[in-house]
Amino acid sequence: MNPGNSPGRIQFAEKDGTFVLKFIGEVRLTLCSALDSTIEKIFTALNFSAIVIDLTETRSIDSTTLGLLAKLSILSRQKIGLLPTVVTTHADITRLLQSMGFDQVFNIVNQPIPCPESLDDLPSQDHSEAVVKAKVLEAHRILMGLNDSNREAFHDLVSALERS
Amino acid sequence: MHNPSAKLLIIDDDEVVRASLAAYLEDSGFTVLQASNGLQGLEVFELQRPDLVICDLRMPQVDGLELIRRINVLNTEVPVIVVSGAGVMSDAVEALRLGAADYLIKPLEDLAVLEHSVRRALDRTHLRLENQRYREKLETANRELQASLHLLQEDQNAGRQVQMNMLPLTPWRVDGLEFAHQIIPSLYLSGDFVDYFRVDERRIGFYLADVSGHGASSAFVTVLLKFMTTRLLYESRRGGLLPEFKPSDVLAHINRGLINCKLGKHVTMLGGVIDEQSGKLTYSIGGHLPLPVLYSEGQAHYLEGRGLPVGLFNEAVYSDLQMDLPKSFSLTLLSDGILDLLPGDTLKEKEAVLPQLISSAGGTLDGLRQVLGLANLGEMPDDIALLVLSRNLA
Repeated sequence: MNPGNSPGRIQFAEKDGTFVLKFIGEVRLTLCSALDSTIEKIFTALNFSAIVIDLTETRSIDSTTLGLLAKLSILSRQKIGLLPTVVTTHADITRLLQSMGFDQVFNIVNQPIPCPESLDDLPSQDHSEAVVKAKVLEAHRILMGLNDSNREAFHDLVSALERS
Repeated sequence: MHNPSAKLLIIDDDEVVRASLAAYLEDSGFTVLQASNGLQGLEVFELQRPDLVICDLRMPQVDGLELIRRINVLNTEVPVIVVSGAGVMSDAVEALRLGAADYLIKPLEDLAVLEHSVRRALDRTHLRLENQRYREKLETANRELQASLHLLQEDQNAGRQVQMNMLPLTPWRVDGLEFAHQIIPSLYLSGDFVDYFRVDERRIGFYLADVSGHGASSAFVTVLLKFMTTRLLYESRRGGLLPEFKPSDVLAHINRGLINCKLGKHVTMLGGVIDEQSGKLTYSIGGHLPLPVLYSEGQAHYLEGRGLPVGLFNEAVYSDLQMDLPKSFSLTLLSDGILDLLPGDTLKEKEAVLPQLISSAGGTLDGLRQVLGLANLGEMPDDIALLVLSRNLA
């Protein structure tokens, strides 16, 4: 992390087969190359059926972090045939994802509350559209539950990094 | 703490006093050497190098003051405690002026006072020596750090020289078109890169790329980019006439190349080809912000386009967009580092302001340099790259 910036945090949690990653604050991974291997480790260790990336509390993400997100998309596609769901409610973050063409490789949901209308233009993936929509809604609901009730369900990814 | 079994030297011509001091101090755990006059004391001092000296002031031949002077000459930092029966103030003052650690009056009623004085003097010396050692250590470490830093800086500078040499000439004029660029690294080396070149007798190619991250690791990738594009151009030319040379093919080529290299780095980039015969610009976009800005007849606006970043997704497909270039225009390509210089709190505001700035700068690179104050930037968090191509700008 760069000194001088309020360092961002990355947290993760797992519930009912849904793997949640939460990016908080100004996430800069310029000098942190070990994170993607950690994520891969977590992935191989867990049995999951959906991935949600929560960007609702993200102020900014650097290009290295975007690269990490891309890696998640590829891993998810390979392992469960389903693209990860990204929840973003900040216009800047949404614009950034758009400019990177990430709407082709993520299920991007722009609403904090899961609703069928927000799933109108999900990209095509290995499952039928109905299955994908159901999965995204389910994953989204789990994320909401995690946010409201049990924040302690989240672990700091960086400390996981230190342990590995 | 000082060494409890320190070696003491007692110099006194009074046998009785000397023996009693020695006995007491030996009982306290010290090793005690003795001498009965100044000269002998100096000999023992040179041979045995005690940690502390206790000497009488009034002695034949070499008296206490002279002894302190001679010990001082040896630069040993060994403390001297003076004991004297001749309670003459001037002697005491002189002894202290010469650096005596303490001055005790004979007869010594309570030898614990002497012992306390000895321990205090040893402690002080020990602390002073330790301090000196720390300082020397620090100074050495500092010197080594400075040297290493200097070496690293030279290394980075050498790398920067190489990187600068990879960049194209600026400004570069060709058939009425003018290309100019500026790259401002946030460190020594830049992860931003630009290039422009003649493809064949009727086409000119150009691109601006921003490698993820910044610094040396990203700069390596710019070398790779230069290599890949140069080689692609060379391969395409080998058949004599160059076939279709589409920016989207170049992006797809670099995408495959970067993924195969497994560097964990990706690139956002804008690439274009100008066909001088048809007057058309064909361009392709790989996940890049901000979009290129076209300035013509006093108006500036963003070009359309999107696409995935280069070097992340195997299945990424890039598309070409085409437009007719006006008679007089400029096209400004920028890396996202520029956003840090723009007014506004949100990306949306910053994006909205950029075309206005380019208009007020008259669409030129020099104008932009002035409007954005590029000449006197402080430290920037990200690399900044600007590439402006123009024709017939008033």
